[in-house]
Amino acid sequence: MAAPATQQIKIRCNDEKEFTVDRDVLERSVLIKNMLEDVTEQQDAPIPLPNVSGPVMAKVLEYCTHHRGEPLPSADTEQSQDETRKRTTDISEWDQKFITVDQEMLFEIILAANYLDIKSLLDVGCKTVANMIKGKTPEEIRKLFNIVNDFTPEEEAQIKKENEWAEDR
Amino acid sequence: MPSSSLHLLTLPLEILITILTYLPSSSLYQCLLTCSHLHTLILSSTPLLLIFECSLADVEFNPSYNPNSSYQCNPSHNSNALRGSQEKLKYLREREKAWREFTPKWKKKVKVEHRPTGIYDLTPNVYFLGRQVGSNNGDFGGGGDSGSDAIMCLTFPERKEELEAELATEAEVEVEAEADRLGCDEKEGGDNDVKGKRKAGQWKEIGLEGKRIKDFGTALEEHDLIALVVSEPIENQTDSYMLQIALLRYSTGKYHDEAKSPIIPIHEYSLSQGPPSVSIEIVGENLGLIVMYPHIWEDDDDIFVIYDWKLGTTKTPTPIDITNIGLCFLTETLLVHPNRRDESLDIYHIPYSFENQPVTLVLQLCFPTISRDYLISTLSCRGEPNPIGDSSLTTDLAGLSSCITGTTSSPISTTSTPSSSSTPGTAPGIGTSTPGTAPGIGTSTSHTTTGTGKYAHPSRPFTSSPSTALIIFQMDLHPQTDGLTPQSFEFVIHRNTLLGEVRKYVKEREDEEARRKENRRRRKEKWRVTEVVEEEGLGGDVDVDVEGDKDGMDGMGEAENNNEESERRSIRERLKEVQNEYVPEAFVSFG
Repeated sequence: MAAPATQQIKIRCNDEKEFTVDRDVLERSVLIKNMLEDVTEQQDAPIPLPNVSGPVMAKVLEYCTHHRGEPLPSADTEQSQDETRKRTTDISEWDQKFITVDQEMLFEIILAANYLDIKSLLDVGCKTVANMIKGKTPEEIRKLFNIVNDFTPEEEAQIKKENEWAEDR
Repeated sequence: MPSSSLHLLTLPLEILITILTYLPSSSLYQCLLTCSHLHTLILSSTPLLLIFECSLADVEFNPSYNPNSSYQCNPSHNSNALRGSQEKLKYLREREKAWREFTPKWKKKVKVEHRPTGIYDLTPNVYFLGRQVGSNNGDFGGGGDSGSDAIMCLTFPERKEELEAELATEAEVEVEAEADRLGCDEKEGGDNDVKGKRKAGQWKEIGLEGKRIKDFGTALEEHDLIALVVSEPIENQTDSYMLQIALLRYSTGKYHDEAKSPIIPIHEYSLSQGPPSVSIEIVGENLGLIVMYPHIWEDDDDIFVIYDWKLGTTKTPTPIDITNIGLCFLTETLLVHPNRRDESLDIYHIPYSFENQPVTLVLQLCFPTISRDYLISTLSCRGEPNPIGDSSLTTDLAGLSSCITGTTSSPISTTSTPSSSSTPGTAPGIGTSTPGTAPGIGTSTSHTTTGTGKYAHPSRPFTSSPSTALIIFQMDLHPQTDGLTPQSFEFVIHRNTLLGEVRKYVKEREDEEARRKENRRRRKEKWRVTEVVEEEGLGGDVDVDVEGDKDGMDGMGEAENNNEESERRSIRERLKEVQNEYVPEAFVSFG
């Protein structure tokens, strides 16, 4: 370890799996960051994370370790980005490799990122799903995500008619 | 939770909506048809409806729109008036209704106090009109070089009240406020107020002492740039003039600080050649210029050049042969030039400067035979608004953050802060350059601001979409047989439709995305380096090349030119085959 002063934090997942992680890595999670700020004394008991499983947490930590040291988006920039975001689905090369997982793991990571409040990871997850949807027909989308078509043929025709203008856009 | 139940549709609603907001409207439409759950969700979600309706209205979100900016001058007004999607949707629907019924919120007449010349331009916020030489002092020069001695610029007010206080209403030209001017509270920031410039509804003058303006191009939103094509008499030579490009900031009227040399010489010409015709367009680092002398048949001085306006270098080491004016950027790196002689639309690929490659003709889309009895006498085009150069899209922080990994302690992190953090009274990209900056010296202190606040109008939530903009081609036909009269045609095509056709034949390189990112990174890098150098007090001639060897333009040797020639030939041959089967939809009406 280059920085001897780095504080180590223990966390425990819902499957009892425990991790010991550098504090700055964990603080990519705004949830944990806020938790740690509330605690003034050194604690030995691990932080319980009842909504995340061990394998998912391992993935999340891989992400956090890679991106450690990058500035966290401030509340202000986050706001304005939400408002005015150029809706690009560009994902960096490393992130793209990282997020190449099966669908279930992808959704798990998205949920964990949402719970732990790691905005950049949530974005990567959401963009990945969006990229999976892009350019596909309704039938392909249903197949990909195991969605049941609950429209009657009449309903389907009606929706097509009502939204004709959007088709070629 | 048991993982087996994980499914797209079981994700929390707000996450599902976030995912869908990343989709273009065409994909949203496909989602609409998949199942009733998504159908209901999309049609009841305001952010998603907004995507649909923006697409319908051919507008895009303005990336620098900032409801919290210092533009709010009236605190009693709801400061977050357009904050949420709900308000934006309402704004958009009102705007569309106003356009549909052509019922502007208000009108105002503005007097033209100068003798106008034939050069003019109109951007969403500014109207430009050339002023005839000497029209402000009664001295009309008595022959000699013609042109405008200034460009008069009229900034449109955002609100009616802003104008009323300042203006008389007699008018010769009526400037109608766009129908979409709702009550935005924009007012000039403090800096600009002090200078007393750019007041809405007042003509402001842009020009250079001793130079005649032949034409001009603008990139206000992207660079705060107005590029004047000017002529200046050459000393001790009668009737000889030097044609130049002068790069100015629109907001200050001073030389542009992002340009290494704000005056780029074009060539000498004499009055006997007659006045030149000019086409000029700017996107990203590229400035496309065509100068022709229509009074002289096939003049040797007719030129088509692509400059990197920031570096002052040319990307066209061998002259490109042209027979008419007219050019239009499809993207930052693809340009269309209608070719009268070959009766085609010529597509040129423009590499980034760092790639050190010349501009190449990559495709010719040929018109069907128009008529045996006619020849095309003139052909030109325009398409507005222009696309925004990729290196200017710095609001895309997600993509950027990956490019700057590991350098976060450097000033780059401040450069990548979006414009929302700009200090009160400082309009992004406006008015932050040092007034009176001497030409030729890159001493700007405002790289952070100019690098991020690319769009000049953060008071508007939407901007017109360049990709769906119409490109208008104008064509005059001259009869070849007696008894026929000349004919004129116009035809139009959406930029993205033409681009789609082009991409059928021109395979963009697979590493396109990587190159864009590289370009963005380099731009960042350059700003950073410049800043660092300045901190060290070196000022003066700052060399901003990070990797001089690779970056310099010197490497464009003979060998590459030859390559280009042979590549051009082979492409032309290949195209001949393509052309036989290719009839663009847009031209069918010619028949």
